[in-house]
Amino acid sequence: MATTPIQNALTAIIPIKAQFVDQLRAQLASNPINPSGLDAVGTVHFARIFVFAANNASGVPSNLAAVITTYDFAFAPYIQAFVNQPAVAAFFDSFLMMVDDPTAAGLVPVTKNAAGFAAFVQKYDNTNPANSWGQWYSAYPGLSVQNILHPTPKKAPKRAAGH
Amino acid sequence: MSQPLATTIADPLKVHPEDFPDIQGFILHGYNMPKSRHFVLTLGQVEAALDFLSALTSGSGALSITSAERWPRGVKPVYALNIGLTARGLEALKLPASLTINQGNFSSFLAGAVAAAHTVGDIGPNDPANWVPKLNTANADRAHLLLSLYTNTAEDRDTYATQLREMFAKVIPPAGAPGSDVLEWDVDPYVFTDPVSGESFRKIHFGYTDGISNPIIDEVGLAPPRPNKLPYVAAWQFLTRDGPMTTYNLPTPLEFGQNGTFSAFRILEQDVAAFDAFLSADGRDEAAQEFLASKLCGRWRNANPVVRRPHAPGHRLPDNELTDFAYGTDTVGEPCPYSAHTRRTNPRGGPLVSVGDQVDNRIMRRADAYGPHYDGTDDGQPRGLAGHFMCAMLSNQFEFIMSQWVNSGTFPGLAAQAGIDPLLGNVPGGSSFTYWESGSPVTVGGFSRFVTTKGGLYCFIPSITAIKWMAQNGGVSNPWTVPPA
Repeated sequence: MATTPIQNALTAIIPIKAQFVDQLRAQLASNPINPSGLDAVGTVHFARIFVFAANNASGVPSNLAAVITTYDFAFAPYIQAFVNQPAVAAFFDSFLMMVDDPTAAGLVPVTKNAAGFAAFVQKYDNTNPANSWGQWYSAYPGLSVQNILHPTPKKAPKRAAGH
Repeated sequence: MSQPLATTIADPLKVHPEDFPDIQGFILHGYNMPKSRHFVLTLGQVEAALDFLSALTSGSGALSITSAERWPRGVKPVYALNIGLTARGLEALKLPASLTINQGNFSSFLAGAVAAAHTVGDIGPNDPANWVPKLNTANADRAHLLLSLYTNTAEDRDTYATQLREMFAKVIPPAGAPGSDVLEWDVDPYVFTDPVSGESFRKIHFGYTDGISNPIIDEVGLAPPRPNKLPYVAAWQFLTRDGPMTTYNLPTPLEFGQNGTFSAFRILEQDVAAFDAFLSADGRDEAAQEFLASKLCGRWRNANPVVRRPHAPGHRLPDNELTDFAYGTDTVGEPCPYSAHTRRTNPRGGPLVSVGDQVDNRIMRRADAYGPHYDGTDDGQPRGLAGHFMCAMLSNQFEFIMSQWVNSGTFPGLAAQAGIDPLLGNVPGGSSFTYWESGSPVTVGGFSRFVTTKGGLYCFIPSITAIKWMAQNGGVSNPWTVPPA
């Protein structure tokens, strides 16, 4: 799926063990995303995480969780900074123990297994051409989070001449 | 019969004095010795290699590995010697198969510097195919062991190099066999003496004062960091140690994995004539050239940061003030451009891609100038910078800096003008360089690559205990091998 040289999308759909679905749903309902952790990473435009409801209109199985985000630059180099945020690490350490995948528990703690965690998430990423195909749009494809938060004043450039 | 190696779990946060004998000296402190020579060799004879490691740590050889123990009365020894091994080098020692080096944490080291070429910008003229023969694509798997010899005089360098060659003569393959060649690379930093103050400073060939702001590993006994100064970094970020806060799984066994570090050894050729031509183009006078040079680096050539001296270099600031600045309020790139070398390699909490406090991504530089001093004449002689760039995780420190900061053109500010580190980056020919002045961008054309990679090697710098452990436990019949990627 085409994105931009700066922005990238991730849509990971991850299976949850049946016995943990209610627990994860309750955890997501009572614990909003801690913005300070994502602010500190500085590359995340938007992030959503949810579990599909039972009997949802789309008929998606209710044991699936979705992690959806738009972020800047490459995925793997920033995953360490991402999981170094204590709130992020605590959530995903708990989350991975609920995932219905025999490799997931081996990635706990995610702070010590960032590269493996990145590969795990990308395996379930539906923007990965191996999993789906489609289109993508951005209203500001050339801007990173930091470009937006710290805009450069628009002034006419001048040529250097002897200094 | 060899004795068991006593090893206790070290403090992940601080270095303690009792750790010094176990840590290779150049990790904690630069020796500031003016002559050095790096040797890269192939391990051709396993038993001889194990004997060599034993001799280097037992005192039975002519030379020994230098630890971080303090020098008596601060007097420098006549030589210092340190050692690193590539993943293929560890394999060549036939270490026990029970050895573990976590693929997820240390995949860069395991795959080697040639495999990392695309990640760190070693493409085009920097491509490993163009490196010095011992390290290039064709031969990289036979680059096993790196020895770094430091001395106070050129004569001592030759003397101890001769003794070192005698020590490893039986280690390398026989003459004529693949890998029998040894790379020897001399480093002779240029020392500039200020005619007014009489003070001496090391300079790189581009004319900048060198060695200003290496991270300082937290040690017991150090004073706490002062406001606005660089913070001390936790020991585990530069020494492989175990603890709940580390971002890696320590290589095992403990005797092997603890108190080491990883190094990206680099040979970086600098085109000083092209750099000077860029500065002097468009009829710039000397002051204008110095102004542009300060924007490229983020420091004036006397080391003063442009953040503190935006318009002219002034007298050199006291040493403790050279690192006393940040970019926190500069979100435009004035006075320090986003592409300036110092800003790219150490953003100091500036609002680029913030990545927490950015301390996690620092590296320790133990590199100096090689080749003859440039006197303003384009003599065609190769010159540049060579040495070690150390860290506990190559992927999250060295490679992160090279891929996301040095060679990325997408910092904040005008994305197309954010630029690439002009002193280290893989700058495409025909580029332009932009800095800001009085609130407006100033674009300078004719900008191109001034640095070309001529060699790279990823090494594990083991602890003294680990060297002994390898000497005692290598040579097994069912050995550890580099795991597949």
